[in-house]
Amino acid sequence: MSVMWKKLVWICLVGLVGAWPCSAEVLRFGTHVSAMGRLDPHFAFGSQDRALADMVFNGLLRYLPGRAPKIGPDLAEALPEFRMEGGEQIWTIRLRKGVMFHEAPGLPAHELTAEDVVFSLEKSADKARSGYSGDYLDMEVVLRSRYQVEIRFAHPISPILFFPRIANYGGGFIVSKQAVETLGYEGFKTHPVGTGPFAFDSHSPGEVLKLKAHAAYFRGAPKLDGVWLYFQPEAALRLAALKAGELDVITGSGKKGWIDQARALEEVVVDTHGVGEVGVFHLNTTTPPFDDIRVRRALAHALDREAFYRTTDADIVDRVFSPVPAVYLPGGLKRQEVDALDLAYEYDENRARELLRKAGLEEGFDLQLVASEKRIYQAYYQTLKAQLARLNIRCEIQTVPHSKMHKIIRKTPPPIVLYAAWRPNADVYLTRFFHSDSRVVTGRRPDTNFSQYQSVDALIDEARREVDPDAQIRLWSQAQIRILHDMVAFPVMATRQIYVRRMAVDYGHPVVSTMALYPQFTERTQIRSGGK
Amino acid sequence: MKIFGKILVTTLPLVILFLILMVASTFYLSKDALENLGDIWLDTCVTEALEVVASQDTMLRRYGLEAISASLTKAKMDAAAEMGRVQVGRHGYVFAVDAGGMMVLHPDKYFTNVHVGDEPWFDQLGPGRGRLVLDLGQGEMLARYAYFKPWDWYVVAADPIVEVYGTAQRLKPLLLGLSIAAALVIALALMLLTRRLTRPLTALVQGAARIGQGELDTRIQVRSRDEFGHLAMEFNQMALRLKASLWEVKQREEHFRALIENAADMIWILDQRGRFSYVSPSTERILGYAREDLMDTEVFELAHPSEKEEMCRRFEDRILGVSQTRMMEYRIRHRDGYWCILESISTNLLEHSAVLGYVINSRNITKRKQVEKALKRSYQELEGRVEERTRELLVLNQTLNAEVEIRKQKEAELERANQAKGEFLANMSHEIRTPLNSVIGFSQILDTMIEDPRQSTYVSTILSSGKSLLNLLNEVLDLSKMEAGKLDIKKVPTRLTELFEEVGQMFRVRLQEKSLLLEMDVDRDSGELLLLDDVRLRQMVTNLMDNAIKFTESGHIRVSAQAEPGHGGRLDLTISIQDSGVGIPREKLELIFESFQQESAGTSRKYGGTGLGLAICRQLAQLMGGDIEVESCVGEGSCFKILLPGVAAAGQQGSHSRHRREDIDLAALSFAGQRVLVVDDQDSIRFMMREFLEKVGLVVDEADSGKAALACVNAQIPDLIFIDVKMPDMDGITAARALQGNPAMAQIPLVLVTASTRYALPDEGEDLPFVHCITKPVDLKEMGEVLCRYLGGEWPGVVPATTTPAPRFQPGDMAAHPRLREALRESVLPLLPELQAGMRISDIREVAGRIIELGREHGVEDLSRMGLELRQYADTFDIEKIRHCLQDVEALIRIP
Repeated sequence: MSVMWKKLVWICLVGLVGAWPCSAEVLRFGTHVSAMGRLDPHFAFGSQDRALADMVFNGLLRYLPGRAPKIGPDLAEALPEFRMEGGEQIWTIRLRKGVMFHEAPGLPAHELTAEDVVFSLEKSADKARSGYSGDYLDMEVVLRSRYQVEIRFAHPISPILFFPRIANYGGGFIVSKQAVETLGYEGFKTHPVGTGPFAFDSHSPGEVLKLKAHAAYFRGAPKLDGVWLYFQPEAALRLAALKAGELDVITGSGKKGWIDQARALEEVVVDTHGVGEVGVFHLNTTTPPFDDIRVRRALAHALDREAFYRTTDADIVDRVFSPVPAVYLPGGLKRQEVDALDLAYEYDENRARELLRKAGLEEGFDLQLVASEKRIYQAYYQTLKAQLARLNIRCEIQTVPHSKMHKIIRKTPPPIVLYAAWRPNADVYLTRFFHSDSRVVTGRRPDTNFSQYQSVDALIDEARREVDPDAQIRLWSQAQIRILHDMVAFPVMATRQIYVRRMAVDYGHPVVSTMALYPQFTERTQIRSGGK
Repeated sequence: MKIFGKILVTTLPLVILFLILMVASTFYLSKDALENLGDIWLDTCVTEALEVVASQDTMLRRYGLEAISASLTKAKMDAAAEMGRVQVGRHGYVFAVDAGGMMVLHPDKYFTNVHVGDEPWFDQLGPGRGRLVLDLGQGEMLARYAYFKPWDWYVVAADPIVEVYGTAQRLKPLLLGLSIAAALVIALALMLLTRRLTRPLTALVQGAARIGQGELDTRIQVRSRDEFGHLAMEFNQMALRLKASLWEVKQREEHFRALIENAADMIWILDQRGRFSYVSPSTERILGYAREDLMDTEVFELAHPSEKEEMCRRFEDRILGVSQTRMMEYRIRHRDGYWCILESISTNLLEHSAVLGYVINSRNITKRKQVEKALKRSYQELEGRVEERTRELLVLNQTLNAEVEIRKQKEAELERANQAKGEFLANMSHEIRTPLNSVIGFSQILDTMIEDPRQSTYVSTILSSGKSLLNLLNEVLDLSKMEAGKLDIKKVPTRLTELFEEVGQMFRVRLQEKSLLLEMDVDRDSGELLLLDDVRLRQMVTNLMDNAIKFTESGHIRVSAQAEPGHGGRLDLTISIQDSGVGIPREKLELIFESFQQESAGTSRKYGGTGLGLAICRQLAQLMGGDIEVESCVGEGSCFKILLPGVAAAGQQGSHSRHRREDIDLAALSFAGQRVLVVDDQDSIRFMMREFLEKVGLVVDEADSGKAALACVNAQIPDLIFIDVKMPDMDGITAARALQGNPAMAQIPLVLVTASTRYALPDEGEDLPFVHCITKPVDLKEMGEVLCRYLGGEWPGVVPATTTPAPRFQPGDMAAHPRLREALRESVLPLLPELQAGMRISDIREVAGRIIELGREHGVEDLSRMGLELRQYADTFDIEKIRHCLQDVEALIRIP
C-alpha cells in the first residue's frame, strides 16, 4: 500500500472514529507509536504510556506542568519535610482530603486515603508489579492515619533524590488499592483507575484509547470532555491528519525537514521542549573487543557528534557531553568542564586508528547490533555504522519493533547499545546505567547497565547518601569523570520533544520542559472556540 | 578666689593628664592587638581554605581517583571554586601557588596560571605555616600561608595592610579627637558640677542673710535632694517656725489685751507705792474716772475714809508678802461722789519684767449687795406668812379627815345595802321559785289529767301565768347580775344554723297560730362553727323573735345571719330579726332599750311583757363587745340587728350547743319497775314530783333531808335520785358526796333539783357529783328527758317538725288549686329526678325559690313554707331532710 493510500485510509479511519461521538471538547492526540505499551503506570516506559499515566494518575508531588524539573505538591498538601529519629530519616506526608478516584465497572468513585498511598508505594517497590522497584526498595511506608503517611529511610537521602520518587513519574503514581483488589490486577491493567483529570474510558488496541473527563477532579473539572490517543508511527500521516483537522495535537518528528514541513501549514504551531531523551552509546566492557579501554576510547574518537546532529532537526538538538544531561539536571558536566578535563573525546580518526592499532585491531572487527524501528534509533545506528565503517568496523544492524528491542538488549545485550532515555535525576541515571547492581542479566537488580560497568558504585552510593546538594553534585561529577575516563558510555545528544498542535489548542501552561514526555494535557487544557 | 575657680584649677589638669595617658595606652594596645588579631584571622582563613583542599584530596583517595588526572583536575577546580568562597575581609582573598611558582588559584582570572616564582615574597614560602608581606600590584598585603603537600600547593590568605591595620591607623586621629572632645566635655562637666555645687551654697548664704534681717517670708530655692537641699529645707522650716512663733506671741498679746480692754471687771496695775500705772477702760465705765484721771495717783485716795487705813495696811502686807492672795471688799468713791462697793483680788507681779506692778482685779458688786439686802428682807417676810398658812391648813385637814370618814361609812352602808339587795333578790328568787314550782308543776300534771276543754283552759292559763312570773323572775335576776358585773360570757363553738333551727322550732306553734311565715337565711361564713356564748345568744334571739311574733299579726318573720371579714381574720357577725309587724315610732327607738320601758303603756297591756327583754338583750350584746341596732317604720315592721364584731371561727371543733329540748309527750312515758328517790325538805315539791313520777310508772321513795336520803338508799338502792340542795340536817351536796364515797352507791345518777340558779350553769356544777341539774320550778318535760336519758326509756313523742310540719299542706289540698298543680308539674316536676340524683345545692335553692314564688302567687302559704324549708335545708346542707322534702313535693304534685 502506497503512502498516499495509507494516508487516506488512516485519515478516514480517524475521521470515522472521531466524527461519531466527538464533541467539540475532546482533544484528539496522535502519538508516534503503533500501540500502547502497558497501562499500569508503574510499568510506563514508553512515552505513550507515560502520557497516559500523567493524565490518569497523580503522584504525591508533581513536576509542575511544562516546568520540570520544578516540583510542587500534588496529592500531598505540601512539600514534605523530614525529621531524624533514632538514626532514621522520617518524611511526613499529609494528604489532601476529598480527592476521588475514578469510577470503574463494578466500582464506584471513592476517596483517596493513606492506605492507597501505602499500597501504591509498596507496589512500586515490588519487582513483580513495578518496573521502577529499584528506586523504592530502601524506603518503608508507614500508615499514620486516614490522611497521613510516613516514609522512613535507614540511610537519609537528600530532597533532590527523594522528591522525584514520590512525584508523578515512574513509581510515584498513586493507584487505587480498592480498584486493584476489586477488579483484580489483570483487570486493573486493562482499566487503570487513578485520581487524575482524565479517566480511562475505552481502548481499541492499535487504534485509539479514549479518556474521559474526571468531573470530580480535585483541582476542578477539566475543560476538555476527554482526550483520545491515536496511534500512528508514520509522522507524515499524523501531520496529514492534523492538517485535515482530524487531530488536534500530534507527536512531531525529528527527521530532518519535517519541522519545516509542519511549520508550513496554516493554523498550526510547532512546539519543541524538554526534557530531551539523552542518546548514549553503551559499550559492553566485559566482552571483546570493548573490554579493552583502548578500543572503547578509539570508538569514542571515531564518532563525530556533528554527524549525529545532522540527522535531526537542529531545533530539537541539545548537545550532551556526559551521561547526565547538564542542560536539564544538576550533576551533569558541561562542555567547558569536559574540555578542561580532556574528556570531550573530540572526533579524531587518526587517534582512533592509533588506539585500535595498539589494541591489535587495526584490521577492524564485526559488530551485531539491534535497533528499534523508531526513527531516532535508525538515525543513530545508521550514522554509527557509517562512521565505524571508516575504521573497518563492520556493523550488522537488526531493526526490530521498539518494545522488542528493549527485550533483546536486556536479555542478550549487544556490544553497543544505544539507549535514548530520560531519567528524573543524576542518581537514577547513574544507578540504572552504571551501578553494578543494574547490570543487565548479571546485576543484582538487572536494569539498564548495558556496559556491565562496576567502578563507580561507591561514588553513586555515597552521592545518594549525601544530603548536602553541593557535595552530592561533586560526587556525581566525579563518577561521570570516571565513566568518561574509562569510556564505558558515549553521550551523543539529547533530543528535544516536538509536538505540533492546532492553534486553537491551549495547553493551559507554558511548555518549557516536561517529565511526562508530552506537552501534558491537564484540567486547564482546552480547545478554544472555533477551533474545530 | 572663689570655690568655683579653686575646683577647676585643681581638677582640670589632672583630668587632662589622665586622658592623655588613656589615649596613648589605648592606641598602643589596640595596634598591637590588631596586628595579632590580623595574623590569627588570616591564619583562620588559611585553615578554612586548606580544609577544602584536603577534603577534595581525601575524596579522590577514598574512591581511588587520585591517579586519574581528570578527577584530580576536577577536584582542584572544585577546591578552587570552594576556596573562592572563603571570605578574607572586604579586599582580601585566598589564592594558591604550586611549588613551581604557578598561580593555580586566584580570584582574578588574569592571575590564574601566571608564574610568580620570581616574586620576592615567593622565596619566603616554606613548609608548614608562615607570615609574609607581599605586593601583587594592589598595594602591600599581609598574608598567612600553609603548605599542602599532596598537591604541592601553598595556600595563601592575604589582605591589604590598610585593611588589617586600617582600624588602628584610623583610630589615631579618632582617639585624639575623642580625647580633646572628652577633655572639653569633662572640663565643661566640671564647670557645671562646680557651679551646681556652689549655686545652692550661695543661695543658702543669701537666704540666711535675709532671714537674719527679719524677712521671715524668705524661702531658699534649693530643690536638690542632697545635703544642700536638706540644709535649705531646714532653713526654710526654721523661718516658718520663727514666723509662726512670732505670730502666736502677737496673737496672744492681742488676745490678752482684748480681754483686759473689754473685761467687765476693772484691772489696775499699781506700782510699789500704790500709784496707778495702768487702768483698764472699764474703770471709766464703772467709776467714771478716765485713764488720765487716775494715772500716777494713789489708789488709797479713792478709798472710803473708814477703810483707807485698812487698805493701806493690806497693801503693804501684800507688798511685803505677809498676807496671801484673797478676795476683799472695799468702797471706792465714784467720780460723781457716791461710793461703789468693789470686790477685788490682787496679784503681786512687781518682780515680773513685763508688768513690774501690783495687779488688782476689781468687780463692782454694789448692786449685788443691794439685792442681797432686799432678798434677806423678803425672806424674813415669807417665813412669817408660811407660818400663818400652816396653821390654817392644819385646821382644814382635820375637817377633811372627818368628812372622809363619814363618806367611808356611807359607802360601807351602801355596800351592805347592795349586798342585802342581792341577797334579797336571791332569796326572793328562791322563795318565789319554790311555790312557783308547785304551781307550774301541778298545772302540768293537771293538764295531763283534765280532759274538759274549759278546765284545761284554766289550767293552761295558770301554767302560762306561772311561766310569765318565772320569766319575769329570770329577767330581773339577769338584770341584777349584769348590773353587779357578775354575768360572764362563755364562748363555745356554736353553729348558727342549729341555733336558728332550734329557735324556729321553739316558736313553730306560735308562728302557725298567727300564720306567719318564718324565713331563715344564714350565709356561708355564718354557717361555720363560731366561738359564741350560745346560751346568751339564744336568749337574745329568742327574745327578739318573741317580740317579733308578738308584734306581727300577718306577714313574715325573717331571721338572717351575715358575716363580713373583720380584723385579724375574725368575722363581724350581724344577726337580723326582721318582721312585718306594727313597727316602732322613730322617737321611741332608743326608749325601748331602757329597763321596764316599752313603746307605750298600751303595749304592755296589749302584748304583755316586763319591758326588760330588750334592755337585757342590749346589755348582753354589749357584754359580747357588740350592740343592738333597730330600724323600724310604723306600719311596715321592724328590724333588730345584733352586731357582734370580732367573732372567731372555731375551726373543726364540734358544736357545743346545748341539746335542744324538743317536745315530749309526757303521757307516753313509761318506766315501769324502776325506782327513784326524791329528796327535798319541801313536802309540796316531793308531792308534785311523786305525782308525776308515779304517773310514768316509777316507784318513788321520799326523803326530807340528806341524812334521811342516805338511810333510804341504804335500805333500798334506787335507780335515780332527785335531790335538793338546801335542806336541814344535811344539805344535798354533802349527801351526794357521801353517796359517791360509797362504792355500792357511786353508780346511782344524782340529779340536782334546786331553786338556786347558781348550779344551773354547767361549769359551776362541774366539781359536783351530779349528772344533771334541774332548776325549780321543775319543768316536767325536762324531767321526762332526764328520766329517758338515765333510766333508758324510749324518747316519746319527739317528732321532727321538718318531717311532719303541722299543719302540713296535704296532697289532697291540691285539688283546690288545679292551676298551681299544673304549674308545679311544668316547672318543678321535670327537675326533681335530677335534683334527687345530683343534690346540687344551687339547683335545690333555685327550685325552692320557684316553689316559694308559686305558693305566694296562688296564695298557698303552706306551699311557700315548704319551699322555705327546702331552701333552709339547702343552706345547711342537710341532705337527708332535703331528700325527704323533695319526696314530699313530688308526692304533692303526682297525686291526682
